[in-house]
Amino acid sequence: MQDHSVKSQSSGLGSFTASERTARFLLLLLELVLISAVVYLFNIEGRRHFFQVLCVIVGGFAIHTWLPMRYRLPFFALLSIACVLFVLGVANGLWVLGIGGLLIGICYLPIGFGMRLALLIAAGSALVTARFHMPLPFWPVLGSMFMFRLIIYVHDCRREKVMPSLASSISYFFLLPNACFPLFPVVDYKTFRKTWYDEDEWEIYQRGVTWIVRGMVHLLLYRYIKSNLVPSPYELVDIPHITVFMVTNYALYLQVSGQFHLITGLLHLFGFNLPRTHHLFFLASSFSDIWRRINIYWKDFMAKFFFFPMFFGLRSRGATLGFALVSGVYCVFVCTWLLHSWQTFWILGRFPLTVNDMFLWLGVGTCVALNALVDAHRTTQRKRSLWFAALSLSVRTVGMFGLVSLFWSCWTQPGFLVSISGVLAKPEAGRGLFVVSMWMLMAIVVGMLLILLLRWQSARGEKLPALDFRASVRLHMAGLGVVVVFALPWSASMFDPEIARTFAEFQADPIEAEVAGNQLLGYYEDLNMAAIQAGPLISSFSPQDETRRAQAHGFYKISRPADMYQEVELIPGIATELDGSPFTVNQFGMRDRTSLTLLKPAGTFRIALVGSSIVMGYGVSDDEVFGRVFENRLNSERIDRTHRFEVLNFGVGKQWAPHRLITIGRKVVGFEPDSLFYFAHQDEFRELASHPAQLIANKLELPSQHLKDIAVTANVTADMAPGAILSRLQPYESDLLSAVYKTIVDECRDHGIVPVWIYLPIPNAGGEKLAEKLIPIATSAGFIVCDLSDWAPNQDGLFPWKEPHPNARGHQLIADALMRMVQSNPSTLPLTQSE
Amino acid sequence: MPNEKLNRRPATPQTARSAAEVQQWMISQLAEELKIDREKIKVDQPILSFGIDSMQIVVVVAKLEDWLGFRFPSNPLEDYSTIEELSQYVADMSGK
Repeated sequence: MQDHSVKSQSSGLGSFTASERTARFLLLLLELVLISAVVYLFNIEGRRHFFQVLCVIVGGFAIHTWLPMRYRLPFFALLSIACVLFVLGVANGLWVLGIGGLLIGICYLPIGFGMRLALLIAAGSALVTARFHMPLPFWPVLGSMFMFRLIIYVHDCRREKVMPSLASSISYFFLLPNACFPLFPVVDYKTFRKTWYDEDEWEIYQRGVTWIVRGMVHLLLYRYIKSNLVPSPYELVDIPHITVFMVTNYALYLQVSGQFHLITGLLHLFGFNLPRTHHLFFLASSFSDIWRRINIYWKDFMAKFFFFPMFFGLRSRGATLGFALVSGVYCVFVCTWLLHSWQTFWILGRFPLTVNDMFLWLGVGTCVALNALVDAHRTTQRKRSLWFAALSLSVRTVGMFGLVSLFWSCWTQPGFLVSISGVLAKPEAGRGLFVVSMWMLMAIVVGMLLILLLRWQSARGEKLPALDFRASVRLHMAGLGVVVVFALPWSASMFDPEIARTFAEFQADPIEAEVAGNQLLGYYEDLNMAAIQAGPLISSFSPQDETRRAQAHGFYKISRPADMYQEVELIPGIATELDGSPFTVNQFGMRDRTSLTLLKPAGTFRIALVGSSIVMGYGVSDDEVFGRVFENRLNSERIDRTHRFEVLNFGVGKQWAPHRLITIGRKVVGFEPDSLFYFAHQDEFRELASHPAQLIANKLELPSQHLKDIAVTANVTADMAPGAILSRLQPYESDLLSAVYKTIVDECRDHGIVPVWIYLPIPNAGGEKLAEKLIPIATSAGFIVCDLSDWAPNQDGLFPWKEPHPNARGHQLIADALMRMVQSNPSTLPLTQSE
Repeated sequence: MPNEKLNRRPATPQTARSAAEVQQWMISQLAEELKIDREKIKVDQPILSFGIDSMQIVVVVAKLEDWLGFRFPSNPLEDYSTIEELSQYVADMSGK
């Protein structure tokens, strides 16, 4: 194998004249400047400080290209080291370099292999212990550099007569982009060395540019899909929505493929002509096919270290092809399951091993093993007509896409199968299945026609010509140039204001706030959560990160902006501390249990609580919120022996009556509650006019006919000035509240839910006479009205904060009041109705 | 390139084959497995560069083992990456 040291002796300058080299270099530099502009303007991987690192890489490329070949690898090694210090800062960077240097140094010790291995295992064990007990910020980067690469490096070096050069080893472990991408492809050391300048350098650089651009496209697609297409968990109530969720959830893998394309593309700029990491994985047509198309470096790593040793070990002991094949595949999938947790351990500091994941990986392993067995024993290819072959391939591709989407959803969303089975049991499931079947049929027909077209072109000898260097440069510069022009701030004036606003939001990365808020959605998104704790130098370039962190306190820490109807919502999946109390939001964006399912379990009576920050439980821990206390008491005091009670908490702070109306329609009814407890306080008239005024001014439809009627009565239209709309609606606040209440009651009746209105005033918050005004409105709307004005006869010590949020004892008292309420007013819990 | 494991445990193929025979056999098998023309398979190129995957490798190597009446103790392509190198290794083992 020709490696770095041997190739360093050659000139590597190719056969171009000096002027041609200069021209090519300038063209590449221009492409990289445009790429940097796109990265900056679209805030691509902004959390990872990618723009700053890209500037360093482009500068490094400009120097590296002109160095004599023998200096290039040492320069790359030094640049990689500098990048670690630049990104992590001196203190954390030195930890990474020091511990990494120690591990590399052990590999160079002039002692026997067994001794070196023993020392590495001892050092590794010490590091594992340290990772467990010392949550230091450099672990994700250090771990991602050594957790797999050290295994490969030791294995490959063992087979060499002489150890590789130090520059080669340092380059391999501290790979330049690794400092800002902890989720990194498992680069094979042999391939890393073998492919270094293994063809014309300009072709390698240009291929790198192509891959970087491809990576950016994947990442922008990921951003669009995640922020616009993935249905919320509340919407998974029918087969079409579940199907859209499965497909878009699988498509989120574009984040990983995008990052890996970026990473390998950047390495191409320094001569590492690495093979592709992914190859059209959405078009896989069998289990074996998906395994060889998705995350190819991982597949190669698993084959090299697990599949081949197991296969040949068994074969040499007399095993049949089939047995050795199946055992090898199972070995790979069991190890994949374990090594995913190993990766999570180094990047996130926890070692999750779940039975659910084990069964999923074994299930996939079984499918791949069966597929491999069939392939291995297939003797001859049957002759089929072109049409039949195209149909067969299209069916297999669509089917495989569906199966992988299903696997992905089960892997990333625990309990997904339970949700599906519940939806399938519904009477309307048949219609949904028919719709989805039609979609699949359409995909199969389109796929078949495309396959026929490609084969027809192939039969005629027509192939898309491979782009040469200059053609590729022209194509990329044109595409990047157009994107940069449209993304520049002054271009916004060319578009409709609404389009310009949406585009600006997309550029700023709308999902960054969710990521910053620890929203989780599956294994890779979980890993990509690993924050890079930037050093002071790189932080000075992105002060907005510091500002954002400084602002993230109080309610802002747990909420995010929503659309104009909802305005604000809790961040799904966040688990944090709020004013010293644990605060957990489940996947549905509710301050409730993560085990909650959309589907109502049999024999369960559900009560949905809708209200403000008091219902949400601001200031108390998860188990102290009155909803949870109330539920525990309902179940423990055996209010009813035939039902188990579930009290669902839909309370959200900084939301008022018009927002709650939206919450009920969008979220609550999907859980099929039997009773709805609507909590009103003294702030019940807040935003009653401003919320619909805002919707009207933005040409959005009002959420109910009752509200539309008031807009007509008030004589407001969308073409009025926003202030005029508001001032015309303000005199109708009581009518607006009545309209909101009537809409809620209508919604409840449509879904067989008992609407209960509960007045829960906050002591010393004013509005003493408000109950007299609110209760008639709620009664006439059709609510069962309950007045809990006396819930806190003695409020001393119940409100320790400035804001009107009761403490744990206050929540206990509210739960007591609710227990008295349901016992004295049985119509609030229509137990017979739920049977 | 040394392969301690293969060299440590030399096994003799039951049927002696020359390097040329093994080369021809490998070319035929790879062409069939990969559904490409024989002419496209170069004996001095790494076998992995033809686009063969791990599942196909083990099938081809298992057939080679059956043809030779011999079992490799580890993946031979890791050390003998081209048809030329692998054929020479097998021929040396069988003493032909």
